[in-house]
Amino acid sequence: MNKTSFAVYAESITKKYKDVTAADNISLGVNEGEIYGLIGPDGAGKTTMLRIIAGILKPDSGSVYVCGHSCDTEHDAVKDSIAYMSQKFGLYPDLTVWENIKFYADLYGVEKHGLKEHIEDLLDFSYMRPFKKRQAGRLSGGMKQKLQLVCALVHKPEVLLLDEPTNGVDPVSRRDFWKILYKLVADGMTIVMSTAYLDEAERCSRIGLMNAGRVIAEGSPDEVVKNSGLNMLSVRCGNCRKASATLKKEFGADRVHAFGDKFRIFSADISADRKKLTEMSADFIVTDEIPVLEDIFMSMQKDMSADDRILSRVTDDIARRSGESLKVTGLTKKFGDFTAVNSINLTVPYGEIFGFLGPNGAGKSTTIKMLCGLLPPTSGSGRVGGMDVMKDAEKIKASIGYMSQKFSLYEDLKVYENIDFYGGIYGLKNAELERRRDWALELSGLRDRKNEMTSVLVGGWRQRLALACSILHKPSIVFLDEPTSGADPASRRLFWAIINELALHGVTVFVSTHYMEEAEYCDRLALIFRGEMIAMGRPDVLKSEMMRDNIIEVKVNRPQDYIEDLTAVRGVMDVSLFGAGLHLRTEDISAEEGIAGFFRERKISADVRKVLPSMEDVFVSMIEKADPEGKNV
Amino acid sequence: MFSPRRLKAMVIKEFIHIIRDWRSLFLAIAIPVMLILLFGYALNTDLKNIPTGVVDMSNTPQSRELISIFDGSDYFSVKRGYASYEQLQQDMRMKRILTGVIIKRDFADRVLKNEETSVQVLIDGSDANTGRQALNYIQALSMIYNTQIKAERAGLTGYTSGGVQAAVVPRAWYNQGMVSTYMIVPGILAIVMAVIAAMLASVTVAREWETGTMEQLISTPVRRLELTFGKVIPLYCIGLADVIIAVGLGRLVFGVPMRGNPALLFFVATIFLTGVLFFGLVLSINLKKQVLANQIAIVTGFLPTLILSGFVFTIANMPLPIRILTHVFPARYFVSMLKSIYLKGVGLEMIFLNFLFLLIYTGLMVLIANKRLKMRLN
Repeated sequence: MNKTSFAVYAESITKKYKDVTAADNISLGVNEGEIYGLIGPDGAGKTTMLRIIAGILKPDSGSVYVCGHSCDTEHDAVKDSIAYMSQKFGLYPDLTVWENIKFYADLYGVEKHGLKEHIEDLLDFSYMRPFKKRQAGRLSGGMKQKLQLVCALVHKPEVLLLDEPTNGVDPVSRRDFWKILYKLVADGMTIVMSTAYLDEAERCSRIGLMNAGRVIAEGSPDEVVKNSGLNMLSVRCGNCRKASATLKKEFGADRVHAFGDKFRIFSADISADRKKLTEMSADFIVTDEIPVLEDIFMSMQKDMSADDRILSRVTDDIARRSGESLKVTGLTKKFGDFTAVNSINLTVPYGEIFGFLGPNGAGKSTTIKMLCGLLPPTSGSGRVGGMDVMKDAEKIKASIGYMSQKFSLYEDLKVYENIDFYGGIYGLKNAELERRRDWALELSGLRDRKNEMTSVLVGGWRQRLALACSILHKPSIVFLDEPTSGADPASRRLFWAIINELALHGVTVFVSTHYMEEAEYCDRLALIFRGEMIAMGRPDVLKSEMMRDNIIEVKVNRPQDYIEDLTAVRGVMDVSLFGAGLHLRTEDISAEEGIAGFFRERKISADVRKVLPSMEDVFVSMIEKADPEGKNV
Repeated sequence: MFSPRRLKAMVIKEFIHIIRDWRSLFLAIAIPVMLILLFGYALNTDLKNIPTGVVDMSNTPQSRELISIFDGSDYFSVKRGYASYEQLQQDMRMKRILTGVIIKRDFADRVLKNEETSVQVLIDGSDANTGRQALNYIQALSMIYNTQIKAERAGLTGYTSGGVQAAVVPRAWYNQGMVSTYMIVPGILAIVMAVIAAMLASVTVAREWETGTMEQLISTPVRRLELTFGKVIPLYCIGLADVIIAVGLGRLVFGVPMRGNPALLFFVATIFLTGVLFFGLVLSINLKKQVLANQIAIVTGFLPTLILSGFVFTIANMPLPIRILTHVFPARYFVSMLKSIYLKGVGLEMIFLNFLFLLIYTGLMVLIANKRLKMRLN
């Protein structure tokens, strides 16, 4: 390989932290003008790689060249030609949008002549102009990320390095963000990014699949899937939760994965397995399934029995309850003049998984905090676990489990010390505390690491430990506020399997999330926007009944090139990126022919078909209906 | 490749942080005012109007004259006369009076007969400092009384014995009244600057590490010098404002004269400020934790300046190891120079050695801060 023909070229990079190898002899080349995605489980070494490329971390050995400059000897030249966006919010919350951008423009020495116009252009480009005088700390999560991107773009870098840029960002903002990325790539910018969203991974020109500090597969997403040699079947059934046990017994736990409202089964012999499945139950609808990246992810995790061991311990002697777990009416919270939550009504039975969806700042967390007894409601009434929401806040707190958005673990305590602390808070003593400590260590999979500092734990482990700590006292109602934000797909799936187990044993689980595929796992969903509940129902009902528009899916090479032109096709209301393709919202089904015609005329091969709306389609469409001018997102 | 534009961008950013965080800004202004008023009044070691009781058994013009000398001075205030020794003792136990003067029955007779006589003076020694001062004043007063009597006698008889009497008249230079606030204000100036500067500077870099903005910042072309000076310059402005406040308050509230050249004072203050600001920065860079860096900054800024700078306790009286230790803290040089500039009004040539040491300290701090600041992650 020739180091100068690549925008980014890394050669035998190795980086060790104490006993962990974050990068193990990694070599990779990123072509000019492509989006290169670093994909992999938590702790695979993605952030380390990005930091090394950005020149802010020195590798133990190996060298990196950016635009032909060595990160080691020509560090200054490298800094001028890149922009790096770290995972943490890297801007100053007390500076306004404009001041932040101006600061970065000055640091990069952007030509002063026309700078004002240049910044205005960037603000227009990112739809941020109305907020230029707002302090960055008061922006919504999605806007913060966009602002950080704008700051990174102000000096027109050749290479953009993004570390999980859309973490914790709602679907509408995420679409905006990707529109910007595509525009940049069209102008010839090179983007190297890491992401935990696999639909984003599918949009990359090429991906490097990482595990344990190594790149184990590289190529376009399609190639990576194809080369994996994975075959699979998909099973739809009436009662999925019950079928789970039967399927796992028959095929082995590591081959069966719940995926939304169906199961996926890894198969070495497709025809034999298909036959076996159809014989097992007449309810099973078996289809061939083309693997997607997420399946590759799942197959990377070798030891599925560990997950099963965890799952088998989830509900150790939880008292089963039935009936209404929660009923509130007219729940309202005002902060001064601002109504954060406006008159929410909710009735939830025991054993239900209830999901809250909504953009950042819509009022999800506020609602959850009121239901937990953490925040006194301004008005409204109701009972949580039989206790009055207005009067018995203290009792509610003691009897529910709550896992906050920000981690509730103490980083400077050891794993078992955190567990003991929460056990103490919930009044567990002696033998009972010992038993629950054991249980919490099993649940988080940290039995062998109980003496480690909590600060060294990555994503999935931490989140499971936080969950375990919040349900040490066996509550029958659990509130989880964005519990899986930023975790890798495998950890997220295990986390949801745990939630599922809890619900099966009669625990009510309230959960908020930005991952639309997770919304599918919920029994019922509430869509919250500007403090109002704008929709509520079962996922399939939301998709079929609440969503009147048709969705046409287009699978085509470089889908971003057709967004503008497709908008002009008759009957098309909206075009947006979806996974590696496009989703078009149309007034009626006849538009499908027009869209197919659009590609025929241009002699482009494209796969056009009507599909069931995804949860993301429902979400975006409802938000757009509620807020046609896009002011609040 | 130092870029003035990047430095300016850093300075503006830091100024915005300070202005938007009005509580810190308020503290930076309020703490000096508070410290000066507190120290100025509380650390006042001058004794005035010592409550005094008198048992005048003589009750003659002569004894009354002696009492009026006490009462007429600034130092004593005669509260009341007592009929008996026991009554006076009672009041002294109750701390109503700190000194007692007992004049014997035959006092006037003996004075008139030109015989030697004595007056008993009782002092509450439970407060050693006050007691010692009271004693000094009393001795001075009795000398005045003796001189007066001798003068009267000489005038009365027209007889001068042994020629001209030589009287020792001590005079304290630079601070004639030996007013302690005169010494305190320059000292407080050093404390205020050391505390405020180290306190403000110690959080700056640590905050960027804690919030994660540092990772973003080091990925940009910003250089070390731009970063460190960009952070220090706005704080320097606050520090200078504090100097003005301290000098102003010293003058207006305590009437401390400023005899030296103000330009020289600000020049020396600039060097000291730069040194302590960079010291705070060194803490911030090394500790990477705001709370820890801040606490250490306050303790190391405040205590050595108070105790080891020669502001409260005389360095010459300290045992050798401590005396050597005082050389480590820049406040020692600064306080010494401040006193000279403030009270003696000397020029730079007179304080050159102290100035040199301060300059070395400051240079060292600037060097260490820039050496220790890593523009990479670890």
